[in-house]
Amino acid sequence: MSWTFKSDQPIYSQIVERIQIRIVKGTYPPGSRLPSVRELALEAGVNPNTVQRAYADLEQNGFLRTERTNGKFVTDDHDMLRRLRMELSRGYIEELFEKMTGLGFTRQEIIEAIEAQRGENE
Amino acid sequence: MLGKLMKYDLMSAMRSFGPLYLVLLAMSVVIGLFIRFNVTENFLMTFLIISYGVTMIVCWVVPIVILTLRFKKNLLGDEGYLSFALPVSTFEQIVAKVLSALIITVICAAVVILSFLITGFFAASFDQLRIALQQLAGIFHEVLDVNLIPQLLKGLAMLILSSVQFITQIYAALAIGHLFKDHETLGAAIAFIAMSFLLSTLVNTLGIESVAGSAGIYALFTVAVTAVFTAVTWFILDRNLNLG
Amino acid sequence: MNVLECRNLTKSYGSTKALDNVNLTLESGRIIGLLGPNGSGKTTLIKLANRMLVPTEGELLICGQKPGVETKKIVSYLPDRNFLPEWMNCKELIWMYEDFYKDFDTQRAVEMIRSLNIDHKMPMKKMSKGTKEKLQLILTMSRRAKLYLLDEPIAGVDPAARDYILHTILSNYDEEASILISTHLIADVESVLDEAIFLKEGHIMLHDNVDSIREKSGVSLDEHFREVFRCWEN
Repeated sequence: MSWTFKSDQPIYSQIVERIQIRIVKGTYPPGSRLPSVRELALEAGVNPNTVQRAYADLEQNGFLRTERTNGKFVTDDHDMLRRLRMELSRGYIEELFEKMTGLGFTRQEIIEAIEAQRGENE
Repeated sequence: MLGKLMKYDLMSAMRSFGPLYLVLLAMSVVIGLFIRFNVTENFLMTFLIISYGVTMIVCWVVPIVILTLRFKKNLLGDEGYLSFALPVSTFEQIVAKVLSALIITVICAAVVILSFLITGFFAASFDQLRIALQQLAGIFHEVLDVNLIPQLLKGLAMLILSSVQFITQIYAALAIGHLFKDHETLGAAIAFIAMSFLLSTLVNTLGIESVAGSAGIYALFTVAVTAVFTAVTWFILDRNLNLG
Repeated sequence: MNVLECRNLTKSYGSTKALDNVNLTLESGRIIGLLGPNGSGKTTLIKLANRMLVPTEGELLICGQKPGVETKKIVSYLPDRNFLPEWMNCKELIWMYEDFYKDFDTQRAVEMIRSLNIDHKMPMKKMSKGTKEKLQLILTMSRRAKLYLLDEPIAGVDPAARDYILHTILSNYDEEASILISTHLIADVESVLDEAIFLKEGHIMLHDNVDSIREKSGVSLDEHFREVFRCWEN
């Protein structure tokens, strides 16, 4: 029913990430209205204040805007959305590199490993 | 709020003991028929003896059982977590319990009287009924002639006062019992006996008697004792409550 | 406005101190976890707030007032046991809550009870343990109170019931009110909490925002709780 969260990170930042993914995927298309704080809190099984904080964080970074009475909307600034997409991918790649380096892979070996696996998958 | 507390208290008491009253009324019919077909002579005597026994048991034991159980369960048991969370003062809780206990006593008495009437109705032949009614009318006239009504009212008031005193004594004993964790019932029983002993000693030393003349002093004494019992109950429930 | 405030609050039973000089301030609009092992003083604190106990020393205030008739009008309390009269059915329970609490939202209660699919005429004593617990929670959360005190609402329930309970709490929570949830099952409530209070042997070990606890300690609230209490035992 509710979302599962990693234990070592603040919950609000994990909610931020989930919403960002949904925006990039198009679950929440550009210019569309986001679920209300209460709706999302119930879906995620978290405190509404936490969702509020996540929304505020996203708004501060320009991914959302507030319309006085209608709630929160996804930005329709496409540059912004492209940047968000890149930012997320950069995060994943960084994580990948971090983990692979932990296994003793060099930069070159990591790239080769990716290429090799892609070959396998195809 | 007092009325609401009493409403739910009475509802609960009637829910558990109402069927008992129905059984009693049904029994009166049976007893009446039994008397009618088995005992032919000295009808009134037999009737009175049986009635007396039943009165004593039902009128005293049942209300005491009800009010004791209600107080224990509703205030000192798990339901206490509801009762003491209600926006009602502890004093109101106690007053509600005293008043509903009094009402239960009155209801019990009414049921007993009703059951007598039913028994009488089924037990007597038409002639016997007619004679009994005439006798009753005679007694009623005598009462009016001697103007006993003020006396009767006084007697009734004393009865109510001493009932209230008795009820508060039970509550005070239960409250004191609550202070003895794990031995609540034993504590309450000992407290009740001790209070009864103290009370009779006090009555003897002060020379207060209910029957002879000084009804006013006796009434005053009863009110004072009731106030002390209520204060003890209030002090424990309000300041020393510790629900298990 | 502080919805609950404790100043040098101490409660002793004989020589043992269930709460020892506790100072605590809770603001409105928060969901707060009162966390600690059994016997750490959680229930004592909640009972003091309901005036079912009287402080030995210090004081406890609810919206600036000492616990009493006035505070009971704005505090909705869920005890850790079956506290409703067993002979009553849903209908009668709703009447009773309406009678005694001005802030009781009948509509809401009726809707939630409907979703439980129970016969309105069935007395409590014929209901299953799980249904009773849900019904008690529904009645408690159907009040528009300023402070909800939930004592061990998820102890001993299965995961589905736990989800139901947390969902019911969240969906009835409004921003004006505060909810204090006492529990020793931290992992289960972690995601719904704003703040956490760690209680150990009558002392407050920690009181902070859950997200800052996670940020500072780098672990979940549950793990941090285990660490804090392990230190104590050694």
